[in-house]
Amino acid sequence: MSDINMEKFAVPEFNPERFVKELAKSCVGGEELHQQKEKIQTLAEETASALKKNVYENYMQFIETATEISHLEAEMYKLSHLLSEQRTVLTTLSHASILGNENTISRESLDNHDVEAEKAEEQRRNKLIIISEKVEGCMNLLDVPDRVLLHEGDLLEIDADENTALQRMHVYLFNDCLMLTSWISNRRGATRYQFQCSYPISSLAAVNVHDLGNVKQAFKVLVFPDTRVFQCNSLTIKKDWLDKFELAKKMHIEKENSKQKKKESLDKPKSESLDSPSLSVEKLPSPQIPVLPEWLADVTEELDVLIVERHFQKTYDLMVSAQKSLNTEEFKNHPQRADILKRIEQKQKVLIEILLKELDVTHNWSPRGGLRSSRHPVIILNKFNMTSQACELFLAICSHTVKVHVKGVQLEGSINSYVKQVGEVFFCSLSDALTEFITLFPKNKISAFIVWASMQLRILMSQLIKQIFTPQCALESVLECVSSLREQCLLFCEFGLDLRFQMDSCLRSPIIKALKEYKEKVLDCMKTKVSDDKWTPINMHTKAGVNKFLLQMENLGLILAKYIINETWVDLSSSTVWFAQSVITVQKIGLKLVTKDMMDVLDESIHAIFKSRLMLSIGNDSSYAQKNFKFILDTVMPLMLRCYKEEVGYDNEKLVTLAKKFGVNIAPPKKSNITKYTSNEYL
Amino acid sequence: MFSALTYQLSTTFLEEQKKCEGLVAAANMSKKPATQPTLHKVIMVGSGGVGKSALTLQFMYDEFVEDYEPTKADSYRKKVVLDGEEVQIDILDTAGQEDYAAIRDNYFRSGEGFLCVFSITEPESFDATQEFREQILRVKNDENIPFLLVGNKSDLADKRRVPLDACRERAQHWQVPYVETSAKTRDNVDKAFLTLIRQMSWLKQGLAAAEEPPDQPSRRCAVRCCTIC
Repeated sequence: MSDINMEKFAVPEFNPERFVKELAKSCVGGEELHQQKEKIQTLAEETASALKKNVYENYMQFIETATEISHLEAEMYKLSHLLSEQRTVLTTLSHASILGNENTISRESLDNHDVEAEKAEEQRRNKLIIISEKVEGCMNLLDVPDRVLLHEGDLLEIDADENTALQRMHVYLFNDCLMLTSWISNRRGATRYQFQCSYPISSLAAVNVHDLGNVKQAFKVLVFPDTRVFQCNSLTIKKDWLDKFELAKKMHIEKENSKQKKKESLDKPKSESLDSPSLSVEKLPSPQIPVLPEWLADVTEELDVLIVERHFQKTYDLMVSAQKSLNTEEFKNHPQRADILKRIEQKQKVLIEILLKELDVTHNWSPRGGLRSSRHPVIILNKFNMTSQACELFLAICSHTVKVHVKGVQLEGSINSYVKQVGEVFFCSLSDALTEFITLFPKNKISAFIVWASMQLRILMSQLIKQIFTPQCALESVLECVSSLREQCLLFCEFGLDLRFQMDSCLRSPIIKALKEYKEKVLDCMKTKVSDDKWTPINMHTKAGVNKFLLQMENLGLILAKYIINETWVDLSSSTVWFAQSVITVQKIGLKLVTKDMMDVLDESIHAIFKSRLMLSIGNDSSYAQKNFKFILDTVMPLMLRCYKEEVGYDNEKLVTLAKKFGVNIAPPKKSNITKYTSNEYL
Repeated sequence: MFSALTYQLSTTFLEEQKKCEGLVAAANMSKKPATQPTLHKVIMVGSGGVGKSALTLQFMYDEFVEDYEPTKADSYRKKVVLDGEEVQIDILDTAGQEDYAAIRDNYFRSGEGFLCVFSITEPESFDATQEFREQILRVKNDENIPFLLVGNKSDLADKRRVPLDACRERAQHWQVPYVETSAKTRDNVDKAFLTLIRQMSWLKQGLAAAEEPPDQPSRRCAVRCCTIC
């Protein structure tokens, strides 16, 4: 019982009451209870801190998820927007078919491929069925093939003579008739209205009631010999009704007219076919004017539909095949050929415009689809000889994606890891863009990509340089960043594009500046350090400290085991050790950092640092100072010269002349010499 | 005993008398709404822009509306006192535009009297009255339907393009009264409506032809007078 640990609390059936009871039972005296309480308290604190840690750890993940979700949300919003647009298109389509153009209706209903018309038809049927379910004793609404509901609503019927309310009505206006139903007051369920009567649209007339005593917002329906007056709840509702009545009337009239025309046109061909048999193709196919196949005659409408449905590839295919077949011998002299070709050309323009818009980053372009989403438009545009525009837009998209990806990298922790990540992301998206570009565009466009890529690199570098080369930055971290970038760039070379030169040219001036700054810093520090030096050995206090110091020096290439005296003392002054560290670091890092064309800057820096140190020593007569001076000349100088040669392959001329000036013997092989010198010195 | 009987009888008699009185009163009560003023349904017809709505609004509300907005179909109702009797007039103001020609039948069917309006500045509208007349006669199938030919915009005398004689001639030919009105100045507006309502009311009371012939000439005279002025 006394041991309180996590497991006990973590059990799902943990019952705090019972736990406390048992605890109270087993514990003897207040003292023990107090201890237990404290234990629990510490446990609670630990848990709380662990929880905090966990929260922090998952925090970034949480934020990322949240942004992802918001992105998704935006995406969904866009989608729903698109869908609603499509819906309006559909409704206008169905509306167009309502408007009494019977030719299109029959064609659409015959054409099984026209799914949209079918859908609209089904919707219409469902609507009518729902209405007939609602109305008791309803007339058969489906008996008329294209009956459509135009308007419905609750109205109050008014007695025309007495101006008093008669009954509540629910009125349906169809395109061919008006159906009046009254409310069933005491019934719930599907049927809510009682059918009263219906009037054919041709027999009724709607009248706006301006003035009817105290009855406001009313309209009349004249159906000889009846006159029915209805009151609406508001003026807008009334206006709606009247407008819908007018629409119904107009549709009706148009339908009648078209029927008449149809009749006339049906009569005409018959008579004409008797007069000129050449027109009846089936009987006498005339070689002069072949009949266009239906798909060719309707090609523009079909193209419209395909464009609206965003089947761009299909649109293109249809265009091409239509143009091809219109250019065959069969249709070469067809009277409609020029017209159709012209219209196809118009559609082509529309398509191109849409595709260009599709590719336009500034116009609603979503990065989520990736570069692949732009594949189809680009391919089609290429076929239309719009390669240059497509290429330009595509690269703009690439720039956008690169920007988005780079922006997505979080600046957290050290600058090195950030730069590394950015480099990875950048070159990854660059390689994505490159592979996509190669598959999409012909070879002669690759130069555009190269120009684009180097420009992107320059942009990226200008951003990164600002962050890497901050004033007072450590050379080590600069080196780390730069080398990671160079590594990435080298990897990217495998894709066949070498951007190293561009990168180095971007890095050149900041690196030079950083080196110079570092040199100045070292020079400044050295003066104070040397003048402040007490010229005594350094006390490292502990053995561990000594070991650490030795290890550090060994990393720089100096083996100083011989300089340890009395176990914890280093037989060198502090400024000497500091100088050795600094100058060797400059050379070591500098050699990795600079490219060939910057060697002179590095040489100059090293030379300046060394020279000023040596000059400082000349005036100092203290024996210990001279000893340290000797160490610098005999140990540090040869080490640096050797390392330099090993790294670059030739001597550092400037340093060599300096060494000669101060009488250092630098005869090869140096390695043994150095050990000899150090041992000599010590002995 | 006897007296008691007579008392009873008398009380029952009184009660019955009271009941009877009540019945009479009830009958009177129920009669009151029945004597609601008779409703006359007038329809304004004529080409677009001749001033049908302007006439209607002037008659209804004593106001002249300058802005022109094509009417679709508007209805108005007003109580007027005609020869000391209150009547109700229901005016249906119809669309003059040609687009509505096909729907007109349905409106005309409900009319009991027609004000056929044209503009004296617009011969085309005068020509169109012929068509309206024919349509009305076809729909109503009644030669004696109350009908009034109205030449509107009499205030624009200087722009007159339909000669007065032609108007009168046509009215004579149709055997209908002719009135010249101005919706702007309210000239003859009431007269035009009241003349038509009077016709309708006579027709309804069955007095039009037979029982009150002496009134007829005087009416004609009145109409003539107003046409001259």
